[in-house]
Amino acid sequence: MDARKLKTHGARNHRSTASVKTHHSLRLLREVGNSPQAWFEPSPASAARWKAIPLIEKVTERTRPRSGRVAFDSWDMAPAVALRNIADGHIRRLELKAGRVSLEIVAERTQDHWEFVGRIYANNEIQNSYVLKVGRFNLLPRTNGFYHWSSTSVPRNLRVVSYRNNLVFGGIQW
Amino acid sequence: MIPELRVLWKRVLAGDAAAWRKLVDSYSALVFTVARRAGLTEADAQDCAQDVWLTLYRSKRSLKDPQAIPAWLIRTTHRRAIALSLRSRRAGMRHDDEQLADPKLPDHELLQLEREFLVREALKRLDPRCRLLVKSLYFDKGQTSYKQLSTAIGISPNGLGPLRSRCLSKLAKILKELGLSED
Repeated sequence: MDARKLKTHGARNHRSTASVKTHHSLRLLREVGNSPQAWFEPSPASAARWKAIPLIEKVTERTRPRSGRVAFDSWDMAPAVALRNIADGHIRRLELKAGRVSLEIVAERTQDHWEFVGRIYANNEIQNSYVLKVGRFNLLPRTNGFYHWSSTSVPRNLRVVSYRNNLVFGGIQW
Repeated sequence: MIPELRVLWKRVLAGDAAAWRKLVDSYSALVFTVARRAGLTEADAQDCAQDVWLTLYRSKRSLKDPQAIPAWLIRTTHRRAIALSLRSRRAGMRHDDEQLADPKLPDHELLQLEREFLVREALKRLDPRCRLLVKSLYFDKGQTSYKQLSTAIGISPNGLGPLRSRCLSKLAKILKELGLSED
């Protein structure tokens, strides 16, 4: 086989290998393109919650703790007309604030424990990238940014941690 | 297999939160799709996916081979989705107008999901021109005409054929890197 033929033979071989590879790509593309099933992208809010998972065990040491304050406390208000036959003091609504971040909590006392629901806002937008630390609980937000926990005791200290913020709300009186 | 997964996982084990965020970015659609295809509602699928990511994070030390992560995510999400779906049905939480699909997906569909994920991953790694061309030709089901496509890409319609060949060759190379070669 002379050099020219060899070259041609080689080129043909090369072409056929490339064609096989391309054929495989085409088959996969058609399989995916023709799939009747949809591909679902999660919302940015859900992804933010999943990205915050490492914060359940690790506090951002590089972020200096910043203290917050009570911005609103329903127990400071004049007693409202009884609602749903619930005696005064069984429900408490708190807004804790540190800079532009605020944590809203609704606490409801049942017969033998407390139910808590919380949500974190920054600039009036629901936040999903924070872990709420309450005693031994490290809570990730659920759908729509709600934190939910039950306890027989009330939290005197709360911490709200993201990759950027480490906010401490201490000395809450009950 | 995604070549950088081994490095990424090593960083996750070392406590690198940025690596974890990248991992979530790369695989969140896969996890969410498995949950949704198993018939969960959007909110249930979000909760299911959160549990899966939490389990992965908590059991990270026991996971020996990072290459197995995509398959682990698919199977774990599938199991959780089935459990969640059955629990919802037992509790009668589903509305009448919601589709009561069987949450159990056949094995071949789970394998196809992994392949589909890798093809989509390969597409992300193509240059923008090739990505646009390949997506328009094979995913948009003929919604874009050759003329529109050539205008969008910025070449003459006659140049689409040769560009398509070059793009498919690039895609074949990427697919091989991701472990989706024919052999």
